[in-house]
Amino acid sequence: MTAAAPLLIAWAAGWFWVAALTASRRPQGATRWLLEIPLAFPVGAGGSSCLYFVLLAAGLSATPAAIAADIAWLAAGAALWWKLGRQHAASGDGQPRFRWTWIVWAGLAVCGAFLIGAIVQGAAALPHGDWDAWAIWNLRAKFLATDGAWKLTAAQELIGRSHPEYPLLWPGVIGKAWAWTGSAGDMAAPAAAAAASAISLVLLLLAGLWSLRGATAGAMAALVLLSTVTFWQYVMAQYADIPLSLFMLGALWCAVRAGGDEWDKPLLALSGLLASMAAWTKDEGLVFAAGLAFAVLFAARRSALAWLLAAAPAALIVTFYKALLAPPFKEWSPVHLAEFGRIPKIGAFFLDELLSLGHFPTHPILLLAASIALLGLRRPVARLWTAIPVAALAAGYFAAFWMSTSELQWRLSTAAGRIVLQMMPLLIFTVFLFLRTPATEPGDADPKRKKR
Amino acid sequence: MSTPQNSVTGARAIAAAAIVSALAAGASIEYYGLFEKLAEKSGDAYRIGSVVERFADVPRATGNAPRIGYFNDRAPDSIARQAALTSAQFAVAPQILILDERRKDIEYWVGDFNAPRDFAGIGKVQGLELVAELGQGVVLYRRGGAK
Repeated sequence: MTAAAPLLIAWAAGWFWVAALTASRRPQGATRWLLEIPLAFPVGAGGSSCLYFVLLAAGLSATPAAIAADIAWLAAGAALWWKLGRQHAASGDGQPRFRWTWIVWAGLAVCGAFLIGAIVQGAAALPHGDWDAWAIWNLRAKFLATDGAWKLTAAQELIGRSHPEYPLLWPGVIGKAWAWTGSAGDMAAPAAAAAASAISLVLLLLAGLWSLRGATAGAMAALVLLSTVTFWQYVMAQYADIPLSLFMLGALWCAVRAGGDEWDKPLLALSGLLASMAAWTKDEGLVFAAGLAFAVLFAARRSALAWLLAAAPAALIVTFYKALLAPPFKEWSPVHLAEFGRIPKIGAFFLDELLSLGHFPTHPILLLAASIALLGLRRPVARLWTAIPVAALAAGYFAAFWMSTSELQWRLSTAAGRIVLQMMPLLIFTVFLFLRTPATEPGDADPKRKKR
Repeated sequence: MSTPQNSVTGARAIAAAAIVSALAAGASIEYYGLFEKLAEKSGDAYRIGSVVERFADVPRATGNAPRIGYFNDRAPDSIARQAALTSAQFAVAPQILILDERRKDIEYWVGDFNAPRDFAGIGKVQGLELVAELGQGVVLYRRGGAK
């Protein structure tokens, strides 16, 4: 378990950043902690991983680079919190009360208990994760954890087996933990990181929507995610897909929360930071980041500068890696755009994957449909720009398969399920953002309201 | 902030909460059961832990050479062959496994065998001299043996 300890340091560092940058629109009470703690994980793990890579590229050995990265990220976060994070009072969420919220809390308690059980069981049954964990993510973490070997993550000889062209944020998270503790290959670190990502994703969806649409909406959204069988399949696989979803959801929530009559620049900056970290996690994150950048530019206009400036450092890392280090593996070619026969095959496969997300009658799409039918859309429908990143991601996925240089059937069968999983939290968040909020009828006695 | 027209009250709101809650709880119970069965049945199907153990002596025996040759005896183009290579690569990383037998710059080669064979004879055919049998089907060779 020592190997997992550096993850806690990174998590703590992330809290300072989050507390600082969300200060002016901080929710009150339990919502605050339910939001800040899960959001702190991607910010902390991602930020220190980026710094770790920079220090390795600058020539530091693995262990000093790991320690320095965590201390620097923690110190910078603490300084920012000292300057920005202590001054603001919590803002009320202004959401209507709903006396039946206990129904969704009960459901969440059941789901949460079984999720913890699955995590414990998954860690025991799959200590090394599933195929891609030891073939790609943890393998590359071993390179990053070894003095002088960081460049080998991009070795040409690994083409075709380990995707040396993939970004390195997630291997950096694991590799840094290994380098810190001198325990390369200790599976406690990737297992702990996988568990932390999965739990943070559920809590962020819950608390993120709670702060915007009330507790019931937040809990319902989390329940829909927990009814997705793919989520359960990958929860302890130690892949980078759930962490990617976490970065993307965090970035989207921050952008939405930043919006209003006046855009909140620190929150926009946090959104940009998380989006660029998504781009450094997987190539799909790059598509999402581009989509969110466009959406923020469209909605926030000049205020988007804060988003762009915060996204720049990790974006530079991605550019450096892709331009100078990553081998020229051509996963896509525009030549295949002429193959129109691929379009119905891709469509059919995605439809099949959507249908495979669950079983009747507990299918997440059915739960979403029931929510839409019973709650209805808000009027007027605002913040339509929030759908742009999700749409961009879907279009990007479609184009990637259309242009894939690998055999299409194989590519679809190995990737489509995970791609749908990446999108689900964003899709659920966006849907509930557009739905009306459950509320207690006016005049009903609400035991939580004090009588004047 | 929600205005009254963007709130849903009464039976519709309660039904939405109840349906989602009950069905999601049911789903989690079902998926946990499936997960449990799958974990019992296949678990660590590729036995990565034992692969790591099998290859534990390779880095020391090869002087931590950054690149070492690799071959195995699984059926060509099979999942087993790919799994053996990929898991061996994880086990020996940060050393990189080279598959191209024409690489004359690679001094050490590791044979990964599923069954007892004429290890020395196999090496001779590829111009490799047997250095040591590391146990559990892992055999170390060095380039420079007579063909």
